[in-house]
Amino acid sequence: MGQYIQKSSMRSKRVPLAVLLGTMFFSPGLAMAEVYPEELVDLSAGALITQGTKLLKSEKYDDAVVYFKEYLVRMESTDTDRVRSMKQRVRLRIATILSHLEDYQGSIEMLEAYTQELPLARPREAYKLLTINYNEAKDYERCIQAAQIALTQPEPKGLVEKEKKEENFEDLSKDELGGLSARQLKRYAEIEAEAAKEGRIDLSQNLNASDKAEPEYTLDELILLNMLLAESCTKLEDWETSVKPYKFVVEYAMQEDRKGYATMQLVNSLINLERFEEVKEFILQLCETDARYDIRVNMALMKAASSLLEHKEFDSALMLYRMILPRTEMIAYQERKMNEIRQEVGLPDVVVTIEKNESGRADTVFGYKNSGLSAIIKAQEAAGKLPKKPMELILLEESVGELANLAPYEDDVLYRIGQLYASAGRPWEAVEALDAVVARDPDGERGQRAFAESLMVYGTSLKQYDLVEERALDYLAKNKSGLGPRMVTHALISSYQSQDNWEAVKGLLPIIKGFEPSDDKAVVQYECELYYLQAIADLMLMEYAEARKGFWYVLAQYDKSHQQQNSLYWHAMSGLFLQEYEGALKELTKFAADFPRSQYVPSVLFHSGICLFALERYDEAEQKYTEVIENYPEDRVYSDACSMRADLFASKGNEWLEKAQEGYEEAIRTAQTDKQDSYAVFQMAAMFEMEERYDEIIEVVNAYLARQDKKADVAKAAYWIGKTKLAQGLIDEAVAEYRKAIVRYGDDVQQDGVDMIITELVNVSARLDEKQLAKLEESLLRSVENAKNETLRLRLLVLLAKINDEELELGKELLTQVTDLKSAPPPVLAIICDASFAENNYSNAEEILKLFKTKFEDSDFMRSAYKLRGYDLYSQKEYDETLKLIKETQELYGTDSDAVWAQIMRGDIQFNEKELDAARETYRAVLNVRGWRGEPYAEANYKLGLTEEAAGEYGAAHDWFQRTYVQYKGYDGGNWAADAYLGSARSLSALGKENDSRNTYRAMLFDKYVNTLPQADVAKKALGAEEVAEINAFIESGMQTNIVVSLEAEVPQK
Amino acid sequence: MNRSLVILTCCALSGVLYAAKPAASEPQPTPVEVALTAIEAGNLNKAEKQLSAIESPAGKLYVQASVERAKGEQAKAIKTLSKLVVNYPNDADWIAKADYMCAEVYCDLGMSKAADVTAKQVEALYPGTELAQKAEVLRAKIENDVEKKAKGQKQD
Repeated sequence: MGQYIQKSSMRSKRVPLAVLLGTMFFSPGLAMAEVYPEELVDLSAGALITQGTKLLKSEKYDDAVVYFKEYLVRMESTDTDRVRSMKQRVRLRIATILSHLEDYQGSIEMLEAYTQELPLARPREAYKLLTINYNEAKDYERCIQAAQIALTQPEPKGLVEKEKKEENFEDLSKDELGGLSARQLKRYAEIEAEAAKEGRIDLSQNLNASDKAEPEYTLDELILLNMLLAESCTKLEDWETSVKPYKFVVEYAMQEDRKGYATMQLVNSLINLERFEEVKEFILQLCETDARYDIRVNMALMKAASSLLEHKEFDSALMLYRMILPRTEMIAYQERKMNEIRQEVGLPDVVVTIEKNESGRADTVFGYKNSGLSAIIKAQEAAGKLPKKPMELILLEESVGELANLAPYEDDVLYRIGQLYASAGRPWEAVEALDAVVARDPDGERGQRAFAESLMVYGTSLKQYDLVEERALDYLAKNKSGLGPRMVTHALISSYQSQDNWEAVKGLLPIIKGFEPSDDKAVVQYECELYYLQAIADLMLMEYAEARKGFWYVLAQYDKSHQQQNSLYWHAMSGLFLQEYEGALKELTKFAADFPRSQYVPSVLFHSGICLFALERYDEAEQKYTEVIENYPEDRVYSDACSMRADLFASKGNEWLEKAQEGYEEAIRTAQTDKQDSYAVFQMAAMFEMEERYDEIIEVVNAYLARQDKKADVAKAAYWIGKTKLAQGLIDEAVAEYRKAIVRYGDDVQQDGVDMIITELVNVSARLDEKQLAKLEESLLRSVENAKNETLRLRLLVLLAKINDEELELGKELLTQVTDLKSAPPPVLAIICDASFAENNYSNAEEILKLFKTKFEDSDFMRSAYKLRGYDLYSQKEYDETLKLIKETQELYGTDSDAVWAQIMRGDIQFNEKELDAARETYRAVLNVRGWRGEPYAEANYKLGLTEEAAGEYGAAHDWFQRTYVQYKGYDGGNWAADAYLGSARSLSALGKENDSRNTYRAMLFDKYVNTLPQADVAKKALGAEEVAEINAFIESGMQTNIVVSLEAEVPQK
Repeated sequence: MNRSLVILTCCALSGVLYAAKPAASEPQPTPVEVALTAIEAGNLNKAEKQLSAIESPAGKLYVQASVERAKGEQAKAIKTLSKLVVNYPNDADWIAKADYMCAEVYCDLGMSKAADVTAKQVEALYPGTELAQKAEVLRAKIENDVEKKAKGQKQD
């Protein structure tokens, strides 16, 4: 910008100042005699003026100032009207000279003095000069003030006029006469008075003959003042004030380049004011001018385009970027223009060529078109025979010089255009531009950035995944240091992310670790991002422990990074997913305190509620949900909070059901996701079911189906509708509805509603008569035959197996048939688990449980997976992990009949770890649950016997063993009883009761439930062959034993 | 040969040459015009033959993209157009047409968002022109197609 102003003032600098000043304020009557430098003190005041003026004419400006300043000093005490006026003119003259000499401060001081005194004959000139000086001195605030005064009220205001002092010319001293005679001065005064009478001169201000009324500003001056005002405003970023003066220049400037520059600057102000509609309007105007060939305009275009790009004003930014011309095109234009001027003034045409000089700076050579002429013309030029170059031509030549020395900008423009197309959503144009940048500068920073950004577009927008992977891996194999490899890895991760291929993201970790370390800020930031994405990948893969470590790594290695807040949040959330509720709660609480304005706060509060709920601190959980509900009604978690609080209300008892219903209804009303809606709907349905409000179940489920249409969880809805029909006794209708839903939605592995229907249909089948059951089986078999989808086929097979009690057989078949467990729905996975368990095959245990946890978290079929994995871990003696799993199982399934294994396994671990008191308690707890009666009781009794035996409490041990073989001999083919016999015999022996011990063995061999089992061999061995033969004979004869072993010590029963 | 004879000979020769030229009122179509007319008529071979005669690099790319599009090679067409748009943004003869064709080809490719963005830019960059009007119509069509597609998905 400064260059531009200089350019406008440069013209005047080439004109001798004296020419400009000559007409300003010296009366023609003041003859300027040739006076040579003398001692100033020897000169009269008049001679000082004369000498100064003479020096001015000779362009000896510095010397002239000395004389004029001396005049002011000399006349300081003289205060007549004429001298006051003279002093003012001298001040203005000095200011003009100093400004010309680039002593802006000196000029300003003189002008400030000038504008504070009367008479102020040339206020417009003074304020114009002040505006220019302030601008040059970079005092933009004062420049604005001066320009505003100049444009609005240049005439003096508020200055006190001094008392008029008329002169008696006859009494004047030599100095006061100023080189004129008294008569001459008198005559000039009379002329002035006459002119004033005729209204030609304002007497109040002009006492001297030369103080003619100052004309208004010319249009050129107004343009200059407006331009300076606008530019100063721009410097001070006062965009609003800059708009009006820029618009003035745009409207009135005649020169295309000035108009264009002002338009560009106006666009810049409007961008900063975010008045984008006007921006567009002025850009279109700019397109129509030749100003676009001005290098300064082009530079300004780049700046403005970049701002527009940042503001996502893609259309306007594109317009600007497209207007930026390559250097060659601009030079060609300037050459044409130069030759037009040259032809006008009779100069030969030139061709612009650019060469580098020794210092590497570009030299512009204006070679003549006919090279043969060159020497001749140069000689003519040197001899002064050619016409003088006009100023316009000189300026053009200078601007071409500037252009030649400008740093290359074309690649940057191309790069920006590529970015613009990428952001705006024109992907093919984006990759074309970015790839062109890469081709021009493959190893430079811009080229590498362009390469990575191009890959990003290929991956995320054009889905050319293979291309991205191939190019990126090839590049990464060769590049390990700097920003490029990090950016490329980031682009590759984005591509994998678009494909949901998180395993591939994790596969990049070794590459990331192999990068050469760097302290560069941008490199560090990218690296932090890459490690953060690694942790995110772990999170997506449900590897919560790894994710937690990853987020911690980011926090520890990249202190206060851009991902700090995100990492803290996800670190806490990973803890929650790992069910480490206490720790997660602490972290979430700290997060909310440290980042009270974070976007995560509602989610943090909600998940704090989840932790508190899991920790059974229900009141506090309710408070957290309430906090979310009251403060963040627009947030994503609001609906969840409503549902969770409603769950809490529903669990409080009947008097809270109304409030719970209100909560679910609010959750449904405000749901932002399908899941939020369906959760609230089906929870509410479950609540209605408890109160047998079947009509309301139908109502709420039908409303849900209508609302969600295609997106509805139709299978689950069908489950609830069927369930209601069953409750109303409409069994055939319910069965038909269920079968229809299974066939229709069973092909989607994620439709857990179908799995609920399968369970329900199995239950219903027990209530069907033979005919109904046959009909159902027939229709199911038909559906199996017609099923084209494997998931549906497997589901139907499982349903049939469950109805016919053939699950184990089917499970064994599926164990070998189902190779891709990921496509298997929960019932199939469960049946595979059961079959694996039966075969002690734990190879799939971990994978299946993980599948459940990641894909079917709410499925009831997950219990089989827990059991299999529990036995897997136990068999590996991973007791800590086993206990964790047992805890999870018991939290989920409590005292359900099929969860007893967890309680017994806990006892087994305690027993193995010699924690006998704990084991005793654990086994005994089994006997307190009525739902676990049967085989679990047998096992618990036997293991209590073992525990007492290990504790040396043989009497008690015998008692538990005896209870087992007496009460539970039918379970597990008599195995518990057989083992118990042996345990009993051992205990009696340990008590020294050998006879009783032998009697126990005898009783065992008489016991038909156990006497053929392998354990009987122990008894046979202890008794000896003879006695065994005797017993066998006894049994064969049909006799029964009456052997009873009893002890005094009874085992206390709870 | 004297001076006047030389002048006469020159005049005569120029007359012969002049007579050999077509009438001024019937200018020869340019290779671009020939190519575009041929594409419209479905004569892609003829259009392709014109390519080497087209001087303007931007014009050549435009015709090439038009041929590719007419052949149903939309992916090729959008790449060719991108070359034009990126490398000749100041070519006033072709840039607007290329921008508009980009919008159309994106539409052909089913890239509705890119098509809409591009058509919108045509409206913004060339206000008041015929192309801007066509872009407006194209955007309405895109919107309609997107709505239809969404409805179709719902019904499925």
